[in-house]
Amino acid sequence: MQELVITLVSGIGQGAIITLVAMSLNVLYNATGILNFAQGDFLVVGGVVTFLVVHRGTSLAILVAIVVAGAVLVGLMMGAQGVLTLARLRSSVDQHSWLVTTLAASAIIESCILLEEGPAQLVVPNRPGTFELAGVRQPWLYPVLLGLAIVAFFGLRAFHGHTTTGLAMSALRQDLDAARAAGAPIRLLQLAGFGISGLLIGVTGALAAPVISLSQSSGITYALSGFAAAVIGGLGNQLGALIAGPVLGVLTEVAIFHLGGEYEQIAPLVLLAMVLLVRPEGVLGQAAPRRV
Amino acid sequence: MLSVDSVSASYGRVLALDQVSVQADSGELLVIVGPNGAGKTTLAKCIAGFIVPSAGTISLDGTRIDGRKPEKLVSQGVRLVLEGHRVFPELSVYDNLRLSKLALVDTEEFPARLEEVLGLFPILRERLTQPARELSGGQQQLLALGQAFVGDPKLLICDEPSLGVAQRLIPEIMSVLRKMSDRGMRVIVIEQVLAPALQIADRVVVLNRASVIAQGKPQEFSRERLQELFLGNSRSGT
Amino acid sequence: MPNLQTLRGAPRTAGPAWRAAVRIRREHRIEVTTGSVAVVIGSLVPFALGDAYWQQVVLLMDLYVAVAVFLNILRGEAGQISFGIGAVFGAGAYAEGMAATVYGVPYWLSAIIGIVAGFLFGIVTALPALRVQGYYLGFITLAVAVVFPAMLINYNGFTHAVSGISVTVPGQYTTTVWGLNWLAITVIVVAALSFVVHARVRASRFGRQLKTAAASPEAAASLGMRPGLLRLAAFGLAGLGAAVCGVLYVPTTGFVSPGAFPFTLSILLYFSVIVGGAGSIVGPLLGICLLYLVPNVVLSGLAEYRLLIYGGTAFVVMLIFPDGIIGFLRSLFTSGRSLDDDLGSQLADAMLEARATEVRRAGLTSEPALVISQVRRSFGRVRALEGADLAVRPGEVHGLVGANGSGKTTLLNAVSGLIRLDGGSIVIAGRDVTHMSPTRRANAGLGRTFQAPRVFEDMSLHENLDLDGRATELSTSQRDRWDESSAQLLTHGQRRLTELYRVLTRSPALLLLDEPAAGLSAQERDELGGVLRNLASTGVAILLVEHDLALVWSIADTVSVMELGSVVRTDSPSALASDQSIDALLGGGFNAQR
Repeated sequence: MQELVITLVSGIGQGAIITLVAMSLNVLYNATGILNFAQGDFLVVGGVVTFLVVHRGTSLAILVAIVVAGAVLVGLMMGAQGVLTLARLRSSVDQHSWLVTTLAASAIIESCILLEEGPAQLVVPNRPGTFELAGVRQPWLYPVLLGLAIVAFFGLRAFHGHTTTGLAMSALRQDLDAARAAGAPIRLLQLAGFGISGLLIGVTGALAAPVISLSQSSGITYALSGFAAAVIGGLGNQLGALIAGPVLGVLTEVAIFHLGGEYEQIAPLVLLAMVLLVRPEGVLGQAAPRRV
Repeated sequence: MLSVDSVSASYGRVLALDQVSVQADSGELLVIVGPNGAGKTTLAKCIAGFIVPSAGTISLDGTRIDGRKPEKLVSQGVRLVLEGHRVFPELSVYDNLRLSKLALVDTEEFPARLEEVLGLFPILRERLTQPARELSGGQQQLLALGQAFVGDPKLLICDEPSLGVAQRLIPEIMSVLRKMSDRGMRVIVIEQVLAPALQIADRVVVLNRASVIAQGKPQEFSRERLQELFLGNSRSGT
Repeated sequence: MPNLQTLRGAPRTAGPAWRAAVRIRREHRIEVTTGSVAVVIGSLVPFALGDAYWQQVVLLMDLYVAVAVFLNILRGEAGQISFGIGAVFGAGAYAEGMAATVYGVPYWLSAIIGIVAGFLFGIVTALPALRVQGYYLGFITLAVAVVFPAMLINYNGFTHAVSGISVTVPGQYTTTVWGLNWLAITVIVVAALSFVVHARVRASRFGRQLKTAAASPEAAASLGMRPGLLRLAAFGLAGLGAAVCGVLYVPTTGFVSPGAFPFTLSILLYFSVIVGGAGSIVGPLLGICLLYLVPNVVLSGLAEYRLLIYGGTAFVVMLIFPDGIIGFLRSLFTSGRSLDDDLGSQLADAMLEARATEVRRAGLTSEPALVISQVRRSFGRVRALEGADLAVRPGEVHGLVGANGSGKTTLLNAVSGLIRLDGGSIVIAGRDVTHMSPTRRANAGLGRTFQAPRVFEDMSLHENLDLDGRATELSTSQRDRWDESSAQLLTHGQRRLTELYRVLTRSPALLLLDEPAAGLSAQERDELGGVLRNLASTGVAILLVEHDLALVWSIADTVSVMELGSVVRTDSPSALASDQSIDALLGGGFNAQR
């Protein structure tokens, strides 16, 4: 029973983080067609912001302020990344160029973290605390993060469905030329995509800091897990990401339990490989990835 | 008055427009016709800002517009309706139309403009909440035109509006374009298929192989004339 | 099929065919020489000076350079994005280390085991490339690189990964001049030779086929190549190279642990290729010097800045020199003779000469070169082809015209084999090809050109004509002249003729031309028309899809008009000129008075 509780709660909690990473990847992908290798590192940056400010005695109000500040900071950083990444691109996304620049951005961020904080994992005190379920203590952050994922899902839906800007952004992926013909400011919208993606990943990192591994080298793992969830759910499909994250999280917990802790990294990727072999467009996806 | 002066444009090494000059007075519905690869779409894209000409100028009412970005031109009233009845497939008809708020200087006008467009195209009102991909090709073309009309453009360029549209809908599309022209909108219609467009044209320009090969009133373009223009005077075969 | 002989650079066939295949261009020879000499001299310096520390560094660098060169072959020639090569390198190293130490296998045997293991691992990382490309492939290979060290540690009982493996090698302490042992000499030679391998691959038929398949799998198939197999072969080659380097890595450092192969190694290697310039041969050397030598060694006190330097340099280079540093330098010094004014007619003449030798085959058959019977194909609700019939005899120029949406392109793609049919049949030169792949159809006598001519700018004109290694009919002087001419300078019309020539070297019975006149000037159209008529007189059957009606009317023997997915009329041009079936093409509907 305890095993089940741990598996479910931890799995869904960690899965919510993966969902949020995947959703932020999707926002950027939908706006620009770019997949950001640096996304996981931005998650860590958000966490580092919290690490730097929060200590045992920090009030919850300050914590909330920090989370917001972290989100804004990462949003701006990704906006800057966007300016540099899009600068060299014409409207059709040149894959070679952004692959390298997003990877390079990842390396740069990781090295900054390394230089600032050293190679060891950073530990952030868990201010929100824990609750008890079936005799096991679980952090409040897990359900909070799940809630954040759900709120983000509906928030993005409202943004794309009800604001003109959001509508225009969702049009980019459907028909770029038609959007241009309708007068949509393409570059601005793409930059906004970077910014929103950054806000989302920043708030996740800042909030989840106590329960994610924060180090210079953990970013890429989160990026890969997020990518796996996004692809399994159908690249660009936010509902798919919302569902795939917890599923991936729970399956990973199961793997860890029965096969060992090293499978934390490996499980999402094995699942990704399996899905790609069978259904490359993902469970809920429509547009196929660039096929052979 | 729209004035295209000696405009040339290339795609890489390929010369798509070779010193093309075209004029359209206000109130004149201009039809540009020619086969595939003649340069019609290139010309449309040059006027609408999608392509920067390598030579020549384009002016609207005395102001130069060549080289401006489409997003700027749309807010100044120059609107291109792309060929292939392109709409946003995942968005509803309503959302497709709502996107044209981008073209309005005062977004408060949108409800009124929407009503006008739905009055013009009742089928769109019927399907207002359906995703655009569920519409037929012809209905999508009406939607694409509706998107343009919401913005109340000064200059409307329609690239092959009859392409992919059922025969029975084509006269409706053409008459709507004529109506808009009569109301004062400058309209340029680009077509491969001349007949329906001839009915509404004030003037016809014939493009072939990146150049203007003939211009004139619609009546001047009989079948014999067109045969001569397109097939050339060469003998057939061996 | 990839030609292993040219792959190895070992000529088995004598005479002009071999020379055409393995001829390395002058500027590439310069790059190869520069690279090899720099590697050899640079590597020998620490040995001459007796500095043990730098000896180690330089040997390690040599291995990284070699692996980066193989990655450059994969990236630059085959167009494949792979971040997994560091893992392949590691797999080769680790397998060898394990065999030698844990299982006590003698070095020579464990080296072979290492190479085979690395090669097989490389093939495994290649499998995703058969399904996906682009950024997907990048993410997946990156995942492999991330997971690899973790798996090694995971199976510690088997791999002894946690403690690491130390290895000694027989003869390690036997040194010759300057303290060089056989190992050091091998490493230096391997690194120097890697440039030669790259140049050989690029000059070979295999290399050109890789490039074609990377640029356009459809064009490759229409020339009889198999893109999937080519891709796999490219990964195999790169994996083999990386595995060999891995096997040499172990005794060079004497110790191997998973910590030596983090995913950042793969990223370093990839960035080195990009920074140097993925189109160049010596680029990886520059890249490794910049990204490995400088941060790790020269600024050794600032080892933590390593990542920052990788990332910063790669970022800046991508923004300023998207073609890499070597690519940028090369663009400053573009040499090569300018093209002759009458190149068009030279190409046309060369084509006819080439065809003349094939007339004996084509002219004799009286059966049709192409028979299309009742072909049908729907895409969802859209009925693109509805019972179309068409036949083309050898020596006939057959024009296919029709309005947009009439199904011309679909029909052409159906004949090429790029789309399957719901019904009906296609017979080419007497063979039913209805169920054959594009590659097999190409081998059955079908040639096709595409709307956008596939001409590769970093190859010479001759290499573009000779993607297949078959252009043996050219005179030596002409070949030499065209080998010095960069394809960059070709006009659109000349590219069209180049593409046509390339297709003709395969002696097709039937030639499909997809809007060949698009983008041509008036003079070029006349030239093309002349070429096509001359070709037809040598016995090739030509099916020409075109919107330029004047061209079609001036050269076609027969014209078919398509409408709504079927052929509505077929007749001579003069008969059709006043027929109503072409009304739509002339602008449809006339004397329409208001």
